[in-house]
Amino acid sequence: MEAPDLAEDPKKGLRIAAIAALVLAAVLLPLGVQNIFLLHILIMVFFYAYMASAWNLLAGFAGQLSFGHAAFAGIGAYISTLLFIAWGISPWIGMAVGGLAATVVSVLVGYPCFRLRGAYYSLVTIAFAEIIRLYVTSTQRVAGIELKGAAGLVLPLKGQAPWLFQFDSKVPYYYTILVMLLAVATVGTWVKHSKPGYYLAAIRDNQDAAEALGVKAARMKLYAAALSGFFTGMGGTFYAQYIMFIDPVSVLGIDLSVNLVVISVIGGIGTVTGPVLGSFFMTPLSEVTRLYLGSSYAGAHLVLYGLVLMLVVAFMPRGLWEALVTLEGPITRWWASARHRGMQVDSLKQAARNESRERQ
Amino acid sequence: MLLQNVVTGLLMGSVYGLVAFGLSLLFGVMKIVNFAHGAVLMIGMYVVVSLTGLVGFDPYLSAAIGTPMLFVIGYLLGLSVEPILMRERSTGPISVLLWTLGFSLFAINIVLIIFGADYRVVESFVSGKTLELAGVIISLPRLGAAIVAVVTFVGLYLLLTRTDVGKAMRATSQDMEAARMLGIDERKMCRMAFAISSATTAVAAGVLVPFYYVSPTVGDVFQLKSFVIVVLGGIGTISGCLLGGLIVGLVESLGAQYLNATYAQMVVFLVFVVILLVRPMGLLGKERE
Amino acid sequence: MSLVNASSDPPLVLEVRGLTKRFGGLTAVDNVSFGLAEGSILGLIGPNGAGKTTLFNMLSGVYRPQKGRVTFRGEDITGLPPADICARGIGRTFQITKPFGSLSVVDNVMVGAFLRTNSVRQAREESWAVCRTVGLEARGKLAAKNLTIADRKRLELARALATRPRLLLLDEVMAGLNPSEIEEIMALLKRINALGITLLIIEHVMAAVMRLSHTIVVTANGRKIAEGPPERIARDEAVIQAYLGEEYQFAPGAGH
Repeated sequence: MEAPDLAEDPKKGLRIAAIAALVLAAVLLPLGVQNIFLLHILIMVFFYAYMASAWNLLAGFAGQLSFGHAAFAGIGAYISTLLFIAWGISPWIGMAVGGLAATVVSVLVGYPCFRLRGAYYSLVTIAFAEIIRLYVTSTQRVAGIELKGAAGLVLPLKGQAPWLFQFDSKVPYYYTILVMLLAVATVGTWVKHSKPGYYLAAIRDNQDAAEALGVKAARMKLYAAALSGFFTGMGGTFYAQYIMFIDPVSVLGIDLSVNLVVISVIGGIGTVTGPVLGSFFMTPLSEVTRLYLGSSYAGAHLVLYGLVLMLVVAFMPRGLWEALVTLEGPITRWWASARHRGMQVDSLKQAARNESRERQ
Repeated sequence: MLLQNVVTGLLMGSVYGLVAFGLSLLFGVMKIVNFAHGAVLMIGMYVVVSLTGLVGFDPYLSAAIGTPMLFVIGYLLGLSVEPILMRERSTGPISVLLWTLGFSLFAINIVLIIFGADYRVVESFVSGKTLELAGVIISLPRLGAAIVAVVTFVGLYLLLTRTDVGKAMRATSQDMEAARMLGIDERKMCRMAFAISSATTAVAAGVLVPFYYVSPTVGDVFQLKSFVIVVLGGIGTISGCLLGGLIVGLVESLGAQYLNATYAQMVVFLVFVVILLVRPMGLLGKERE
Repeated sequence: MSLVNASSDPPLVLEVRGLTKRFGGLTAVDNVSFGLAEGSILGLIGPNGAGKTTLFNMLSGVYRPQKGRVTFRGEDITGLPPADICARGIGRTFQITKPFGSLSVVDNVMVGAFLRTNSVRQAREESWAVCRTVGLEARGKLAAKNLTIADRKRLELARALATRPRLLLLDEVMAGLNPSEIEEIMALLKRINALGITLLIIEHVMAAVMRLSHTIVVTANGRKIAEGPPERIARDEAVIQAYLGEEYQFAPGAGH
């Protein structure tokens, strides 16, 4: 990746400064914030930003809109949890194993399914995720391991046990998911500016033209599927360790899959910051409405999700990202004119000093 | 026992087929995957429930009133969707899919807030009554539903083959470019497809209410089944919807009897996946080169 | 009928033998054979529905022929998928342009350049060079979807050129252009050919293709009905009946 020439492109400078400031704020935040609920909201915001970013590696970069990504989250969550409950293996290791398992499944499923274009692919992903969910729901025990079906798995409480991925306070969870989010964002940015990134964008925009230029579309899509599955699977483990309870609905359900789609679309598919923006915008709405309106109005936040999605698709198809980018112009111009004014003041001061020196 | 299951399955299957028709029409004519299909069914059912509750009509009468209402709602949906579809040739259908997803989330949860999550049950003049034929007990509301479904299919067949609108739709579904060159207005096709789709779904809603529990999420399961039926039977064919519906109805009925209900659902999805991968044009559809 | 390769003739970069393609009951291409000498320009003409694009699609791997063989630089490439064909040195453009809309012009060309390198910097350098060759340098940073038709055609060429092809298949690259744009593209094609790249052109703009090509192949109803230098083709009875019409006059001496 080439280093950006800041003088040539002030917009890039602005972007880098903004991101650096936000990351710094995120890192420092827990030092000043004690409110547990606020921390929880932020953890969930980062979590869904992470998951949506992982989804976006396949959907936004390769153009295959999966509506069944919960399958990979569930695979990661169940594997790390079962490894822990049955054999006491640390969920940190379980996270890696679950991530790899999700990668394998993602590639195996992708191989026949990427032939399908557009909505056909989306439908098949729904079916796959539902098949997995239905299987786990109706299975109490498999190969001697307790799955507990629809009842789900409760993680044994170990208190403050960092090597077992459990903490007393929310703060370590906050930093863990923040690091994960930065990792997936970095990978996404690196891929986007690399050869696979160019190839994936080409496939997404026009697969036939890409193949006529020597791009092996099937292979590239599997590459994207592997990356996406890996990160999504690891996210499932984080969820399990934070919430301490998993069941087929929460980690394999269509609600989770749809959530990732909606957040990414609202924020902006195909960009690295899009899904993050989407989560920052939508997840707090969800958590807050859940708090104030309770379980009697369980779907209230979804009304907002649906409404925002409709508005974004109709009027801002590139997502909130598009709106943010239109602010870049005015801000860089303001900055440039402010510096210009500063230089004018300096040169006036300098002229005044010269004059007074001359008079002496 | 077996005959009982077969009959129940076929009766329910014909209604499934009718529900699936709306989805099939939209995909066939406008290449739109309507993720709000279940929501439209749900709206239809709540319209019937409300009219019956407010005015005291028999649900079948409410359905007769509700169908034109849903026609209008469908027309408005088509109107909203049309600029999104026309915006960019290549990404139009996916954007519409996402928009209908948004509408679905919005509608289902608004209904949830207004009406609550409780199941509604509505009685009609045939509720609870049964008929016995050759040792098989047939529930009258289900029989009535199946009859109405078949009659509606006949009506749809006439609509698609004898009316100008119907012929225009068939032309558009075969080749949109050619249809455009013949002077067929795509935007009108979009609105009419949505309108007819919603009206048909309203009919299905009307005949389901007398024997099916109504809740805000009632549409979800019908939507998934509709996708399976459309893929199974082939897109854009009436006979395909009916055949696909009957198959799904049978599998469901027999599966619930001889297998775990969850496993029966799994089987349906597995068949769905296999068909999509092996023969995406469905059992009766035509190969597209 | 295939061209006999005598030792004094330039080598055949492409040899097509007995190529046949059927779609259901329709035979789109019927037993077509011809050869293409390295460094030459071959024009493929014929009325609409004559099977030209189908032939192209078989050469570029989009369709598999039912019968026949395609040999490229001595290697049998019949039935290979498009990406493999491009890797072996055959590039193609599309009649209806297919730009990568969300990418800039130079990024579009980079997708082509990446076939021959893994380095982002090198791909970018080469892409700018190719943009200069086709005259797109000034618009390099524009989004591809905002280009005019003429520039889109240039982009199609640039992308294919970035893959360093030995043979370029050009599908109606002049369609939709005005006369001065056609002249520019013709000059560009001659420059590309001068670099040593063989060209196989489908074209309906008669004046252009007759002036540009060393050899013409005429197809009608899926069959080859004539092959030879442009002057001879213009006078060929069968060709005039099938396609050109009695009024067409070939002006000798124009072009090369």
